[in-house]
Amino acid sequence: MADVRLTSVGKIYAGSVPAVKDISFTVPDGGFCVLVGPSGCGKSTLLRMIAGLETITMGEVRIGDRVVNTVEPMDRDIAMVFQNYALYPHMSVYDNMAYGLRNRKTPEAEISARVAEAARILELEPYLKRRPRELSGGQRQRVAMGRAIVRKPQVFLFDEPLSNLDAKLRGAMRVEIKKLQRHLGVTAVYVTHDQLEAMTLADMLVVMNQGVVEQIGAPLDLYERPETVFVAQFIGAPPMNMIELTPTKGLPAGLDGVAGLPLPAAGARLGIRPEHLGVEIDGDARIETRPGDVRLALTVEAVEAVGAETYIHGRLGGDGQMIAAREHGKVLLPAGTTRTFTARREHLHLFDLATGRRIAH
Amino acid sequence: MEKRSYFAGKLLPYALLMPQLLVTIVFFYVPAGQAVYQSFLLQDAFGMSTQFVWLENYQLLLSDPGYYQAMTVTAVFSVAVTTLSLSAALLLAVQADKSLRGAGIYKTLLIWPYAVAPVVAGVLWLFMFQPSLGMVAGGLRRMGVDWNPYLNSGDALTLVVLAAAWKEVSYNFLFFLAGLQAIPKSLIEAAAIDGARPTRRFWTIIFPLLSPTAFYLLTVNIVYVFFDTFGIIHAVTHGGPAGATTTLVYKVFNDGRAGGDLGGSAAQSVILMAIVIALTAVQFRFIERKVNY
Amino acid sequence: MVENRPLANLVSHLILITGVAIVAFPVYLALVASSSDPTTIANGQLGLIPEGHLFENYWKVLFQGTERSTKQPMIVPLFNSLVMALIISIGKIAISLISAFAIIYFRFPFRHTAFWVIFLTLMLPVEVRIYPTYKIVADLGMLDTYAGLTIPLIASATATLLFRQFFMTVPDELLEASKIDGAGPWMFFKDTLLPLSMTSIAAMFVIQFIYGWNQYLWPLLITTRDDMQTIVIGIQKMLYVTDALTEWQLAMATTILAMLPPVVVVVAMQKLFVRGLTETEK
Repeated sequence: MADVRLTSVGKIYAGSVPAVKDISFTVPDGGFCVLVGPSGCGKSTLLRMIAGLETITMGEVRIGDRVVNTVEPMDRDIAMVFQNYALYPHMSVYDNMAYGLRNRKTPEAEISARVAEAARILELEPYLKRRPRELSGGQRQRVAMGRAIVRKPQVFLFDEPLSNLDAKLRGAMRVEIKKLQRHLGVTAVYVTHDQLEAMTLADMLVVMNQGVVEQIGAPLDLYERPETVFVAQFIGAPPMNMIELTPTKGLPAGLDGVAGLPLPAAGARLGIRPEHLGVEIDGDARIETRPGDVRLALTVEAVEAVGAETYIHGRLGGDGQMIAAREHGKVLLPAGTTRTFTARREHLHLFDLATGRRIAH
Repeated sequence: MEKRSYFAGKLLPYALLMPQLLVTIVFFYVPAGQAVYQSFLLQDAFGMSTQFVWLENYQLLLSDPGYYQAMTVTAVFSVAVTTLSLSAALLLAVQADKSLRGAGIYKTLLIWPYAVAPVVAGVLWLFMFQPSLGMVAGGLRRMGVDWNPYLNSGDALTLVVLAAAWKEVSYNFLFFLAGLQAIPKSLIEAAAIDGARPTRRFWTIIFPLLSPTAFYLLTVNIVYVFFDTFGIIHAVTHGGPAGATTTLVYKVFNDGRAGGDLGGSAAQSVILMAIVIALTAVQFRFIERKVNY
Repeated sequence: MVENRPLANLVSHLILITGVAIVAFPVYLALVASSSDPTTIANGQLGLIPEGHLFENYWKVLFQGTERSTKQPMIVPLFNSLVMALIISIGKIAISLISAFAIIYFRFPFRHTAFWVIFLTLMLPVEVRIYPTYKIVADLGMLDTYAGLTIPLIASATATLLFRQFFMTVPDELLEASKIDGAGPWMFFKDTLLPLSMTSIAAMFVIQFIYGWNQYLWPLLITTRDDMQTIVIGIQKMLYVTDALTEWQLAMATTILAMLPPVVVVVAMQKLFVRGLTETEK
């Protein structure tokens, strides 16, 4: 078992802008690190540099106490699960799992013991003789997992392993991956663009954008205290509402109670998560206003009731920007009505307009 | 398009390419270069002395009526074989494309001549049209046709055209059929709903969509007539009578061997090379897709 | 087709049957001729019904040889053709596989140059460089040898292009997974790429076997000895006697023998053959 330590890692492709810039973090031994970000943010490149599939042009990658910058993939003691699984189509499930062990001259008895163990854990025993094309998507995914675990590597690398599955299976596999990783105690680095997957799997979440790290931390810390506008809007669905506050231009109509906020002269963005916007429902849930709360007058345009909760989309001040609110239960407001939505002071996020960084308040 | 991942070997790729490159250079580029070089040389009758004569071989060639005859023969031969085999193949492919009972069997029965060597095709047709004992020749004689490919230029050319076209139908048929089957059925159904009858559908929808295939086949067929029919001519007519079936390739072969005129033969080779390059360039439009480096 | 008109279908069947008949007739006639005796043919009395000399004629052609032309038992050129076709097809596939592997799976200086050097041989068929190539083969002492018959024909832009094209469709992740599984270039080639290429290889084999078997000009030039002859050349030699002396029943038996192996290969491997043809040349 080993930790994974990145120090000032960067990647520049010949004649182009850096794909990854100056990244440093450490995944502790046995930790589950998720790299998340929009497509093209450099997360896959970073993973492939850890795997040894891309050269490292700057900085240093350590696995355990070994610098692996120039070590071949096979010698890094890693295993990888690919998005399209990359199963060898002409080999049986058994041979797919055994191939890497055979290449390392593992004794055949040891191989069959390890494959049997992996097959038992992943419930693949009935399929060992089949070819990948005779399996369902979920089963192929398990074979890819099996190929990784038979090797007993120091680090698991996952490159969007669930994105080829349907939503239901994805949920189930997510739970299984987490369980398996805990059980085996292997350090994992996992790439995804799906923030739900990122939130549920990670002990350590690394949000990336345009080749740089935006923020690193525990998933709920990132949710509750996003350091940048990007993180605030990337994590959480529907995304955090952002309202631009520029004192010199005057405040948007329909917004009340922001006077006490420490706005920089250049302006700021006010962030409010949809679930933090409460609305009074015909008197039976009175919202008591406290000092420092912000109130928004929204003219309802669309209401999406999904049972346990309701999403309300309305315009700020009647013709301003669209704001989303999330309420518990059924809140069936008719379109066109204007209501006041209240956000508590402790739920407000403030970001510098120019830098996008969080401002303490 | 390039691979994202690759191996790091420095010498290994050269070792892997070595056999192919070696054969290519020794047996393709060197001789081609020599052909170009030789075409500028003049050898005396005994091969004792050679002289650099610039374009004299080409001048001689272009003032030789025999060369013009070979060009004409090649042109007539190409047009005749191409027209005959392409139209027959298209006719058959259109029928086989209909979901008829036994379409698969027809396909099998029509494609095997691809495997027949041109010279075999030539011999098969010669046997039918041999003036004294051929079955078809006998029939022609009884109908009052004075048929003799050994003596009559037109008859000789007709015979090699038939044999060459017969062999090429299968190749063209296969490509036309593949082309037809690639046309989405919904297009044809839409045209039918738009009120186009089958004949009209063929000329307004199917034929235009098939034209890239037809164009590709045209260039392939011309290359075939130029080069691969050598066996037919060599075995059946020996270029005769009186040069009536001497194509450009046959002339290169004949002049270089019998006449020993290496300079002239080389000049002819160079002209042929230019023709192939031109044809390949035309065809390149279609190969592009698989090259796109 | 959209309509289903019995009459039109009947016409289609008739056209196809006529086509098949025209395609098959010359071969059928050759078959009949190869079963007859010399006088029937010489007198122009050959009918459409096979006669009883089939076995006798083929036996004679294969093991005794003709009486008047080549006088060689045809089993020898038949064997030579087989050797030639196999060396050419297997050789082409082998050297094209590894050169396509080098071009696709490695990065090295002059990679594009190498590709173009191979690709441009499409423009240099043997017919345009006959005598200089002949001279090189003669200088290398390869006249009348299997090496001389095959090696100059073994470089193939077509096969290299096909394999290159196929390798492009193999997912990058398979190579990456192999690397992580500890496979080097040779193991990746042997364990993954080669098994995946099997269909392409088989398709290429059909095409190149036919190409090799049917070679004419090249063996005509570089073989002089009777025991190095190929069957396709053998036919021509049989005709190369005065007309009246041509032993047609034997010539036709030879013709059938010469076309049988490639035709069997095409018909037996029809699917692969069609695939190979339409994928390489289009």
